[in-house]
Amino acid sequence: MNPFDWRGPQFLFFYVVLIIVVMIVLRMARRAMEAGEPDARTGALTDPYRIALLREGRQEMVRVAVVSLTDRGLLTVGDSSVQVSEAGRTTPVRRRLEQQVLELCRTPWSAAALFDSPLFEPIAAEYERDLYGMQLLADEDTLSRRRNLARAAMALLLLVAGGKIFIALQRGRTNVGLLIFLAVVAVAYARRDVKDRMTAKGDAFLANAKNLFRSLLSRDLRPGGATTEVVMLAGVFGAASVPFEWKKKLFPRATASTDGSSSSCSSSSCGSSCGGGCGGGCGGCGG
Amino acid sequence: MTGLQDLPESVRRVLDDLLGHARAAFGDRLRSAVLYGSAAEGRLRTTSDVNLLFVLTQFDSSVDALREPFRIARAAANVNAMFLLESELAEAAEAFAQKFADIERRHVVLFGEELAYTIPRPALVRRLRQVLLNLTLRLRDAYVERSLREEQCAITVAEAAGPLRTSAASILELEGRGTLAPKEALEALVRELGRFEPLLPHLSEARERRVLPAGEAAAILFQTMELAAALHERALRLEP
Repeated sequence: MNPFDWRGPQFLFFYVVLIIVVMIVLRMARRAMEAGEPDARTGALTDPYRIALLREGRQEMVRVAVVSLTDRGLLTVGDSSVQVSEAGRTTPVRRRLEQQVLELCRTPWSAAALFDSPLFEPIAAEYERDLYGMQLLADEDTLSRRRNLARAAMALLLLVAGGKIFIALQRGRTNVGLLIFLAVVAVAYARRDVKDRMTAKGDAFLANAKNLFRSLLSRDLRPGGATTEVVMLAGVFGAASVPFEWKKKLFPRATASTDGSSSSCSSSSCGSSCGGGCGGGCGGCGG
Repeated sequence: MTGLQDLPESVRRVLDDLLGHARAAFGDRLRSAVLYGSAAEGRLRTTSDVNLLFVLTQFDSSVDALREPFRIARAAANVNAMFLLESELAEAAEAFAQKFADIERRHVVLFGEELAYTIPRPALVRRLRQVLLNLTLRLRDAYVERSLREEQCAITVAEAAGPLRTSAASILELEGRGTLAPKEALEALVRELGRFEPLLPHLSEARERRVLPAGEAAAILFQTMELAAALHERALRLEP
């Protein structure tokens, strides 16, 4: 029952099973190492900009801020530019990111250039520090632990593959191409896994936030920023998920792909298709 | 009242969090926190509001600490809140008699004392008539303005369903026929009226899914308007 004595197809089957088992163990070990109960009360959960940064990075953080400020009427979106509105020039805003967007948009910017601007790096770095502190993003220590785990997994897989190749060559067989290919693919997969931005805790945190705010996807959202619904929708499910016409100017590529997809789309890149505009009720306490 | 166990876990968590923040913010100024409406009844739909009533001894700047958590609760679970002073309770119950009659029927005390108020019968009769007349007028207006667009009909019918149901519950109560849940009360009244029964499933469908059968939406809106008028007529026959 020595696998190294097995014939080619049998050994390949064994090796594929070994790869799968090693990857599962690797994933479980990573999860155990990085897990932690996502805390619903942590500050990051209530901050759509930090959630956007966690989910998709710095550009997305700026996109969500632009969505929020546009919804609130503090930015105006033209065909080719984003600019501060009259109200935006005089209205003080609370968050530093919003202040910076309004400050920059005193002169018109193309949306794409604004999202790419390196001027937001210091704020993003500050938010990232919070996310590292909460162990939602993988810091250098986490990456190092992941690398060690991945190295052990890769060593095992390469050792088994190398042993078999050595034995096969000694016995005059040279048909080892498929085994080499499998070993390379497995190693590449293990290396890629190391680079995930988020920790397992971050994944759980985001899943938790999506679950908590999923009713926003089917709610009739009122434009104008009176509530925090629009910015939370954008923060948790993607800036392009807001159901307003002006998003087509901000995110032409994302909206083009959303428009072209079927109505059953439910990924994070597309959200509610219902327009705003609730009918007038009979007043706050009408009843 | 079925209580909180029928609420989705995420809504319960939002309420727990918000209540924790409210208690921290208001301290002993918070007398009661009451969940009312469909959430208290265990019939929360995805489009439902989660309605809360906070009864306070004083509304001051301590509420500032609740602003951010409240906005999050609103985004997560569609939470609406009424902040009422203890001293305003009796007056509010009279002024918004229909709403407070509904609170009386469907509520769960999440924190503090049970609400103590009485709704004078004349106030409830007057308010009921007012609500139904207002609803009838609004539905006429909506029919003229929006009924050529089917999706608008569905929204209008969905918004009318709640007031129709709570009004039906108030009518039955004022007629001395006991307390029924609003949905069952409307079903009972419609059976007696004898001509709106096919409308009921459409009211539920519009309320739950914001859709009506294609090609029938305008007719359904028209019937909803007639039902409101019929309930108003019935309310006019009540002894104040």
